[in-house]
Amino acid sequence: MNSQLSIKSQATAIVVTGIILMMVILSIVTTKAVNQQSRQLMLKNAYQITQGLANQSIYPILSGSKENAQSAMEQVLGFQSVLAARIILGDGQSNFIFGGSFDFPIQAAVSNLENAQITFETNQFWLISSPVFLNTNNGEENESQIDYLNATHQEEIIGYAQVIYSKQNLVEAQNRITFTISLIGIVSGAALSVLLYIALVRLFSPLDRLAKAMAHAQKTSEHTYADETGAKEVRNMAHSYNNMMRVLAEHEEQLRSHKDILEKEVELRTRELTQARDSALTASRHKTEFMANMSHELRTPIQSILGYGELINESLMLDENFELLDDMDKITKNAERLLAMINSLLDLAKIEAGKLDLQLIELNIDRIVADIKDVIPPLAAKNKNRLVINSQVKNFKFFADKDKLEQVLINLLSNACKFTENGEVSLVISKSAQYLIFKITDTGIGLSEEQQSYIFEEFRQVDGGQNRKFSGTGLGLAISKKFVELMGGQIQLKSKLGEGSCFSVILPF
Amino acid sequence: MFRVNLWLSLFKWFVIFISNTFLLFSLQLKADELTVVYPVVKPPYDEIFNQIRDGIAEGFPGQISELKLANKFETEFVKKQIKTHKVIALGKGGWIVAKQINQSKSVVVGALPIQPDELSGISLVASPKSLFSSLKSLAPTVKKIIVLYSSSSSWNVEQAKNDAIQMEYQLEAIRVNNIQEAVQAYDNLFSVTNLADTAIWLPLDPITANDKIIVPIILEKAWSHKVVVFSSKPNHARRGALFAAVPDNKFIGMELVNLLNQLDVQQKPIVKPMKVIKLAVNLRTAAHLGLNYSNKQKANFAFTFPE
Repeated sequence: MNSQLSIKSQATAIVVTGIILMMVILSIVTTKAVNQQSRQLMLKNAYQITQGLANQSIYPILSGSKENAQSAMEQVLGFQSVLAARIILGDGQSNFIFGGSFDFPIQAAVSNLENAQITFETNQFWLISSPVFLNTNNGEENESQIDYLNATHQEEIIGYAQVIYSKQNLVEAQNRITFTISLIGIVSGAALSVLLYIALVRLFSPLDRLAKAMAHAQKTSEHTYADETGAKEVRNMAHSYNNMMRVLAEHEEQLRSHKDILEKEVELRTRELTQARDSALTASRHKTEFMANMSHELRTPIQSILGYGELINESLMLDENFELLDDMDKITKNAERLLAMINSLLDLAKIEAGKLDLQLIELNIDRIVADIKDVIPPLAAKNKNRLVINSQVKNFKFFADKDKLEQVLINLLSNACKFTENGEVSLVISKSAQYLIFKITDTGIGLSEEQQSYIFEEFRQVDGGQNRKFSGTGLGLAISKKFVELMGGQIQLKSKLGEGSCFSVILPF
Repeated sequence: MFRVNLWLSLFKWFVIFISNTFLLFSLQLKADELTVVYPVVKPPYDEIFNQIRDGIAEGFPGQISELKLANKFETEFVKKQIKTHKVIALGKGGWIVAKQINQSKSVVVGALPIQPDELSGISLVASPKSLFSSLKSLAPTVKKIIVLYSSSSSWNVEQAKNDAIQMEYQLEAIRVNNIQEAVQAYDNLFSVTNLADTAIWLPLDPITANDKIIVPIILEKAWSHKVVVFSSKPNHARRGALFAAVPDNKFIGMELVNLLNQLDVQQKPIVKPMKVIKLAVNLRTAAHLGLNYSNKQKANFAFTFPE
């Protein structure tokens, strides 16, 4: 149970409620008991008065003289609470009444009375009746040894004494008692509550201070310490808290120290890394620049070689020197191949240098398919592969860099032809709502999962054995990927070792 | 023949003489023993019996046996315990035993307000003569004595009538049958305006001197009317009567022995009142009535009140 009240408030509330409850119960019980007792006392007094009147009524009744009853009546009526009194004869003869006139019948419930009793009661008074006994026995037990012989004792009821006894004094007394006890109860309750409140405040003040110290510590993250004062439990709590603070301070100090060391380390390492990065960047820039420059520089002599080679070929053909012509063809092919390699390096260098621009022009898919059909069939035939080109998209126009798209598709198809023997290489062109999809599938050697993970990295080819079997720079896929990404598309690969591969070029249009 | 007859006659007379001598001797032995039967009571009432026993011891020269009666006792068992012919029975317990042995033994009863009946004894009732004599001494102005009595004290009142004449008092004796009559008679008495020179005598009577009902009222009225009240009961002096008769227990003891001796010759039951009394005097009442007593008189009072 969670409460918004503090423990001090709750304890105070419980204790004060308890005290008030106790005081109320005590007051009610005491008032009831005292009122009951005062009623008993007053009733006893009333009985005694009535009994006294009865005792004093014997002589007046026996003598039948009202004068004899006068002093007894005066005496009884002298009591403050006695409103009226009378003496009546046992035989109920109304003409022998002494005292005031009552509104009650003479025989009002006096039959079978043996002692003073209430015979009628209202809120204002009691009617108390007491029988008047005539008892002529007049000796004590021991004295009876020397008392009268054969004395006949009379013992009979010769009349009744009746007293109307007012309850006013009782009511007043009870009201006074109730008021006094209530007042005492309230004052005691209040005083006790105040005392307990003060005591509780004192008792809980160390806890308060501890809570404030904790709150302050939480708020400011400072290591404030609490006073170890107050009750044993609070002192223990404060002690534990202080210990905790001490440990925290030590740990924080250690952490700070570690942090400083680490910061220094990090700073050092950062500096080293920055230097390394800068060096790497510089080296990379130099490399790229070098590669670009070198590629450019390399292309010029190769193109000269090719140019002059063509001239030589033409001369050789004119001379019909076919032996040299074959050699020259080999030179030309190798030179072309070298040029292609250099172009690839140049493209890569441009990509890395961010200098490669896209030449977006409107293309017709049919045109692309036609270009591919010109280039790929000889490659497929080389390894006795069957080429299937299936364009599901007809006469569709879109914007893309034609050279780069064709380079990508030719690179993928030539790879498929290169790594497939006596199989099938297919190109399927399809279109979705937003993308144009070129799916190149072969039934070649396929790629393992590991190979799939690095196949698009620069200068990476499958293992050396394969490398030896299948020549290449290892830049084709890396460049293709970068071209496709440059055009906002992506290349996906699905392959299984020994079963073939499927490259999908997905281009937005 | 004459000598033989003479010797026979002499022998016969000798035998008669011897037997009579033995008889007389045995009777003499019996006459010297006495049993006192009395109940055990708590102090201070036991002192009454002690004093009476002292008086008996003083008056009786022979051997005295004592038989104390418990609160409850078997009369037949007690009867068997009594070995002597002479018995003095005291108190109600003694009276019960006395009634059982009265026919076979010589018994007198004491320490009880007895009246003439089948038993002899000294009654606790003071003799009117002694009371009147004291009245004369203590309240000399009184000329008239009024007494209410019932059957239980009538024998004493009858005696009083004679004694009053002798003592030159006018005695008005009113007989009542019950307490109502007594109350009404007293009430009438006090309604008479002139009670000067009049004294009220409270006899030892359970009705006309009832301690609870009559005595407090009579004493109160007497006080307010300044009437002399004297009583046969000692306690009444303490309560406000001018004087009351106090038994001289030791003297009663001696009187009981004398009475026992008288029974030997007279078989008719004798009941005697106390001829000698001591006096308990209420000096406050006396002062209220305007009576002053000399030191000599005071010296003769057994008790004075207030104490």
